Amino acid sequence: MLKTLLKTALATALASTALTGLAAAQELKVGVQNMAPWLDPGRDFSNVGSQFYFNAFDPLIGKDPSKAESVWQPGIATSWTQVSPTTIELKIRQGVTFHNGDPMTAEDVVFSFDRIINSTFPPYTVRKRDTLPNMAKIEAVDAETIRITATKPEPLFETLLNVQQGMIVPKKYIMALTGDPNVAEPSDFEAFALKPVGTGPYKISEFIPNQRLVYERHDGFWGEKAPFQKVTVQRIPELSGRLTALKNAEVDLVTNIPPDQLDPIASDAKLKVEGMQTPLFHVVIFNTQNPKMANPKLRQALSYAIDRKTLNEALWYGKAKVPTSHTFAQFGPLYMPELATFEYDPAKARALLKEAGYDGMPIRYDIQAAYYTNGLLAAQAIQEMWGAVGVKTQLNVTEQWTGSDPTMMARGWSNPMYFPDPAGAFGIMWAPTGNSASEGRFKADDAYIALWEKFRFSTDLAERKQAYAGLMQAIKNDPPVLPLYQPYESYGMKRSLAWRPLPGHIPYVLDFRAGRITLAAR
Amino acid sequence: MLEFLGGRMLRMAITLWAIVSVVFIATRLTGNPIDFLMPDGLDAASRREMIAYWGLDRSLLEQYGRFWRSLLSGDFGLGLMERRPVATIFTERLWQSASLLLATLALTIAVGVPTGILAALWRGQARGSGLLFIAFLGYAIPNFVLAILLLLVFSYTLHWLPSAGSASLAHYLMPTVALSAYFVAALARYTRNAMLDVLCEDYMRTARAKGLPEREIILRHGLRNALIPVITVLGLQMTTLVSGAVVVETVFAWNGIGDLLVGATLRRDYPVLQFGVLVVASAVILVNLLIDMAYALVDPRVRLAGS
Repeated sequence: MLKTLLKTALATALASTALTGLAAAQELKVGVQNMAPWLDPGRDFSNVGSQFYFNAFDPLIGKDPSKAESVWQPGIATSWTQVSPTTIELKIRQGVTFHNGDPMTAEDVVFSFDRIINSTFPPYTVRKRDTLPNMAKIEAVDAETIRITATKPEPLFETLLNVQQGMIVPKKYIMALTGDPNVAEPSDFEAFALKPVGTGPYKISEFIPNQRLVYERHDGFWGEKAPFQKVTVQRIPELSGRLTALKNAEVDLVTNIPPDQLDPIASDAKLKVEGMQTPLFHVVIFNTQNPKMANPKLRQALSYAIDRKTLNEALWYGKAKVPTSHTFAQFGPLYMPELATFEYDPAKARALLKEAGYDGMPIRYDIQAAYYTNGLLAAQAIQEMWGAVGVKTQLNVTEQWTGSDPTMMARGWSNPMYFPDPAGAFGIMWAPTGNSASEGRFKADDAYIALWEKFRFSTDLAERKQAYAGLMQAIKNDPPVLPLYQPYESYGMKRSLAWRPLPGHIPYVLDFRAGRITLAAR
Repeated sequence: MLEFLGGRMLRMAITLWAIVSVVFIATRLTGNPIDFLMPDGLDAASRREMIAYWGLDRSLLEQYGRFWRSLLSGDFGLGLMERRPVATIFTERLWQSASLLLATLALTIAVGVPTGILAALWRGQARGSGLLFIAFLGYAIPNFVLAILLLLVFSYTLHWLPSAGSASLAHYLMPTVALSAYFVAALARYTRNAMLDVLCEDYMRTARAKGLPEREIILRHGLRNALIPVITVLGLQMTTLVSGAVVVETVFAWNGIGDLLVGATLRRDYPVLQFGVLVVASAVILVNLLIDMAYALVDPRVRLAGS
């Protein structure tokens, strides 16, 4: 009997060592160009931060990331019904635990949204304004039911309850971080951003701002368990450093490889490249409110004169995507590449310049030296292209943001997709009260405002679609913006790693959840 | 000596005040950090709100006043980007930089001084010229070029050494060599020249005449006297060493003070930048003070001139 017991104990011990050994081998090492300075999904809007949230946090409503168009899936909410144009009710998943062991309740859900909707902390107020301006109230009907009320009819409930800013955070944990444990003070939110806790498949076990981040498998995760016991994300700011670390097998995956640096990876039998056209536009903007730029024909001419296909071939090796309209495949039914909003036609540009009475006035083009990949090169090429139709360009390389400068004429900028709807891409920048209007370089007339209201708040999809086509026509007639291309974002990795950026995420998300990544044993 | 020190301290304080003030004003003239801290698409009201959140809506004079008031009370403020006390941010990275600098210093002395002595003893010989040529190369190659060259050979091609971070002793090899090359070369050249001067001195001849073994003549009588100018040079190279670390840290993904300062400059993270400049400037001034004190102790003429 004793012998059997000993035998069993020994076998168990051996088996558990073997398992631990296997699990320990299950580590993924990632080299990124930038590490976040803090991590709080609710207040973050940045390209750097958005890489890291999806592994550690869950939104109320999930989404199939393998598809560009939105296919909703249960998340923290298991089901939902829109009970009226302004109200949605959601059933909350039971048995979800936070990384710190606290059970997740309806109170946490209410708190997560309330901290933004009724913000007392400026970084949240900013997110309320750009992402959740239509959300008026969130309440727990009972322990399993949440009701969210909007001010105006809301066709985008699912989309907005899927955004990173609405990922669920722990109320009790946050409030207890500093000061009074029963009050959510701004200092609590500051502290949370350094010690973030969520419900996702990985917990953040170590976070050194701007340096490194370590994920560990969250065994209490409600869904399929994470494929890695540990994921170490290390900042390697220099491109040569990232390439070397990958070649040298110090890391399994590296981010931010520019298109002209893919060869050293692609030519190595042990390595490979994966990439995607990012749902983000590099754009040229015009200051429609600068009297010198007031004539729409001048701005039309400047748009028609830019050969974006050549820019793509020369700067992105043809891997970027030149859009026909301000539209992304991620918009699903509202993806309308058939609208020919932006075209290249130098002959038309010359004719329009003549009609506009262009007198050789130099157009100032502002650009930051190194903020956007290929930004300065594109600006220099645009200077040549404008020169070819007879427009003089004064290239102004400046580190200042001139978007609100009344003397600004044209400049390079970007329009990212913050959530998969025209309202989350075009809208953030070009809504009648959006960024551009608020900075005084774009003004919406009454017809534009009416179209916008219909597009944003109509609950009839066909009507939204028609209204958006109308908005695009208005942009074509009186252009404030020209999207140049969707840049191509490349990642280098070991050949044995099965991972790729997925089209169903916002730009730059590193998704290491189950089913999205595997590292074959060597 | 006390009088000498007092005068030195006063000058030190004035220098620090001037440096920090120039940095304070110069950084604020280049633009607003919000353009680097917030992504594209911030509307005008939110922009104002965030500028107020960082306390950057106050007048330059008020910001300047607040800065010195809190500095004197030992509060160095919060980094704009990380929203943590800048003192914490620096402490976290201090050891990474300090250990790299110490390793560099050790390598520089261990290689530079013997090379210099040998080059002096082998004056006029092919092997002496060979050493000088190698030293010249080390002097001429910019540290970032050498750093990338080392990466290319030992990590990228041969896979012998780790390239990114500071996790193990092996991680120290390439950054230390890249950073030391210039200083080894500089030190070797200074040591050689100082040795050559000393070798012709009368007391060297006397030592030989006494029948001392050659080893002892060179090390005890020669090197000891030659080291005085060499130490001076080493102290003066402190600033070059710190600015070299800035570049090398970035190449090797070394999370040190240099890397922090580069990032803070690019993003206009004023509090981090101001504190960093204060720390580095203090360190340089302190080293200079120590050197001056050492002089004063050794040479009474300096002490007299100082008072």
